[in-house]
Amino acid sequence: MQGFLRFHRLILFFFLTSVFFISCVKDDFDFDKIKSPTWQPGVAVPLVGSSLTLENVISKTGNTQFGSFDGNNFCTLIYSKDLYSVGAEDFFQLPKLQNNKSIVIDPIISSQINNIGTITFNAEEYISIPANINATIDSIEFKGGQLEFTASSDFKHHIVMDVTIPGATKNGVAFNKIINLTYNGQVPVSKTISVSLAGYNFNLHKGSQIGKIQIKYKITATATGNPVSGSEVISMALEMDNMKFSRAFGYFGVNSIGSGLDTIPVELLKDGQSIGGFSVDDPKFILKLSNSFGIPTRVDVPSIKSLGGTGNSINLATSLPIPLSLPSPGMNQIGETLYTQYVLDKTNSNIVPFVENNPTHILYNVMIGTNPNGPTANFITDQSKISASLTMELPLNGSIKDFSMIDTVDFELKDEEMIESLLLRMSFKNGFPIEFGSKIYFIDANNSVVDSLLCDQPQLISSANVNSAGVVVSSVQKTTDVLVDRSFVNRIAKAKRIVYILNSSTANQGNSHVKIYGHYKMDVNIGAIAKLKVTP
Amino acid sequence: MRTIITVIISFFMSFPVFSQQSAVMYNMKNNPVRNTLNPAYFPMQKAYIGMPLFSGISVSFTNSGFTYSDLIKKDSDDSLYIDVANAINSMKGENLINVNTQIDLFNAGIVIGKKYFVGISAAERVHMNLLYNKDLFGFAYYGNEAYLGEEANIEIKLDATHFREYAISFATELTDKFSVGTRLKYLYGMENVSTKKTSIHLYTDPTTFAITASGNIGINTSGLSNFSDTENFNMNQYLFGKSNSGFAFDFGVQAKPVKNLILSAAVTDLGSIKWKDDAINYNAAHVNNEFTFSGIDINELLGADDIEQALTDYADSLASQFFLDTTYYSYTSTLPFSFSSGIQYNLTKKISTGLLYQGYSFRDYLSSTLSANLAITLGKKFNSNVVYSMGNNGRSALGLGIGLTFLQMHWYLVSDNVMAFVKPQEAKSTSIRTGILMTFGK
Repeated sequence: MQGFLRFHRLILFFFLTSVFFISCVKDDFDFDKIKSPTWQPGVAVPLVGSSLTLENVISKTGNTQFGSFDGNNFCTLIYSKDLYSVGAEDFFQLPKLQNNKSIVIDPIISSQINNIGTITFNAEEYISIPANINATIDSIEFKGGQLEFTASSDFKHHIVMDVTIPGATKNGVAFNKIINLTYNGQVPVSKTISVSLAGYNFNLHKGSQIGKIQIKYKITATATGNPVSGSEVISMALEMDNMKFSRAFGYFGVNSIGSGLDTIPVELLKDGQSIGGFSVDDPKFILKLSNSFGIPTRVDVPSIKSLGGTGNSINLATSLPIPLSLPSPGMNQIGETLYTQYVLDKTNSNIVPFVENNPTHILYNVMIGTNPNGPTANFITDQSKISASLTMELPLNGSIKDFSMIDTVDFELKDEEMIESLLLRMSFKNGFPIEFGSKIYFIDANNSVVDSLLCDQPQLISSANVNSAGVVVSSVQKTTDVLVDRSFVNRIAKAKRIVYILNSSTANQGNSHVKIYGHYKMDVNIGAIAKLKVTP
Repeated sequence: MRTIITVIISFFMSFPVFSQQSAVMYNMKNNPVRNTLNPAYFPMQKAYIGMPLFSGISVSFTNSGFTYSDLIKKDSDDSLYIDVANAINSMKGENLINVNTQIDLFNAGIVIGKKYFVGISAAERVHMNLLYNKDLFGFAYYGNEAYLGEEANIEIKLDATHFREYAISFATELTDKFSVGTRLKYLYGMENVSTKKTSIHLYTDPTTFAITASGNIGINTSGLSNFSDTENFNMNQYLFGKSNSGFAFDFGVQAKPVKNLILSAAVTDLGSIKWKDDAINYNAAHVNNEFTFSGIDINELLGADDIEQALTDYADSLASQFFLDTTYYSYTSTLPFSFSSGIQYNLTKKISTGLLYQGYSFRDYLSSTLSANLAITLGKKFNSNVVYSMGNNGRSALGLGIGLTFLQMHWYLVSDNVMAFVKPQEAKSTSIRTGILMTFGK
């Protein structure tokens, strides 16, 4: 029993001790006393991870027309511009044709109509087809257009008019239409017919007048018993409009297809870009001419001028022939296009200083004329075209000094209170023989610089190592860490814009000539460690 | 916010038990239901019947990772602050949060003759085991900067199950010195969430910060629609109509090789449940597919007409690496099981002492406890046990148990870590178990 009492006391001791401790720890569980916790994780994030090659950039951006690679993957920039282009429908047009003809029947014959019952007589006329140029057309094949005859009669008798155009055939059948002018008690009696010209071939050699359309009329009058005054007239109105040819033959005269000064803006540098200087080893201009007009032509390019950004201009001195030869397809080459091109390089022109003038515009004068040697048999089709284009080829073999690009973007830093510090790591393994530098300025609403980044870093990306031929022999890796602290974050929180400047030069500050190949590669790794301060 | 913090703290601040089977009750001879810990134990009474819903209720919690005081500190101004870093430092590589509750619905047993015991019981049980590793919290709290150049392995193993257990027990004395017992259990599953191999391995390159991720995610659930679809909830169907079923068994032995020396061993909860009702499986679409994100690849954006859309497409492409496929197949979850082995020596008729080893196995995690006890038994009326335990997490605990019998009513109250009620802020585990049974005869 005593043992039981001792045990009882032990239990009592534990109970009292427990009460004491519980009262002591109560405060430890007062959750109202818990301060808001602060969480400060360090988050490392890869931002950019890329391997860039020039070949890939050009193909991905769809700018393959601006760059080409030879068998060695050597890169040439290509810049093409159309100088001039004229199509046959611009050169040769058929305006609206309108013609009126009146036929007066001999009063002696007409007075007998009531006695005879029916009389028939013929008439004809020749009509020229007008054109916008001085040309003698032998034939035209129409693909569109409208021909409209309006006949009118004062006779109080029935008239039947049979109209034939012997030179206008469709599927081998000459144009022929009957127009009935039936007297119904009132005069004049009128009627209009309309015919599509599509498919008609107009041979302007039919009849006695070369170059004109012959129209024949056969008129039959049937008596109605009404009197004849002798002054009655039968009139014809012809209209041809919206004429579209598919082919035309003849002599198209001595005409100018194109002439005068024009300007090509050269966008080698865009707004915000500038360059300290550059040199190219072997630029080329390729003047390409094409012709599908069946007309002998003469092409003259009397001047090509480079207008530099500084206002300095250089004439392109060439040994091009005057005039340039541009062949034209013969009668057995209808539908074909003939080409010719002239290449200007450093062996036959002063193209190197011309390009190194850093042209913002190229001024040129192109003159194209037809039949310089007099009349010959010409043809055109609705697809015929004469064009001239200029292609500038810049093999990427040379040097660039201090190319810079400046741009501004809007900026707003959100949740900046979460950022305690930020480590920005930029690592570039550069296989291009080009070095890059960058500066970033943070601008507030008053256009004042509140802070900057990278301004003490002359070089962000080092050029690859090159040999004496300017070919890359090894890549160069450079890693730059930029650590910004809380005070920097506070300052740039006021910024509204970022101005960034990118500088680049070829190897050795632009003093080395380098060659650019499509397989050159730059590994870009940009990452950041943000030390955050999160208060839930 | 404070509410959220409170909930989080309450969840992780488990005070509770050390091992998931009571070391205190194991050697309380008067307690008729201690044979739930070792089926070979015969009750001292001739028969017992548990009061429905009162025959036994137990709650236990464990967080082997850290204590309340590891996480919540008192500042100089008497305020409290959350010291997550300290809590993380307290964690081991792998840590277990365990929650066990059991409500005995019915409990009865009878000793037949002197050599046989038969018992039946029904209990509502909920257990939740969450194995988490230190990197889970380290990565979330410190960020991946703390893991530059090394792999962060985030692993979660979870099994949360609510089931009902119907059991029949049988024990027999094969000889005067050796008895064996077993308990066969039919399990009726109600809800379950369990992970398969769910781990994510993250490596952050120390130079480029490129992140390489690999891993696997597999989660099975059953019965969770009960919580979201309350309109179609059918109580009868919920309580008795589910087709989630399983079986488990306990097995125990007891030997008395020499006078006053008792050796015992048991294993409990060896079994599983097949989940068929409302089973949903979430599995990673790209299993163990190593994926490296080195940053935005400019090549993917070159030539894009709409950079913003291109970035969105790029992000979607990245996100697709972590898509989960959803299927609806039945699955099986195994119960965490316990095992124990003890030696007890009767110093006198009333006092005994001994050692007990207990293990609790969840997946490949083993929680072990070694305890020493001093038990006092005063006839049928009073029984107490004092237990000092030491777990494999290095923490020790003092457990107490008491059992009283008045007018055929036996009441017991045990806890394996009473100091958790005194200084809960320093406890990693605690438990409490109590119940009232009607007992009959010797």
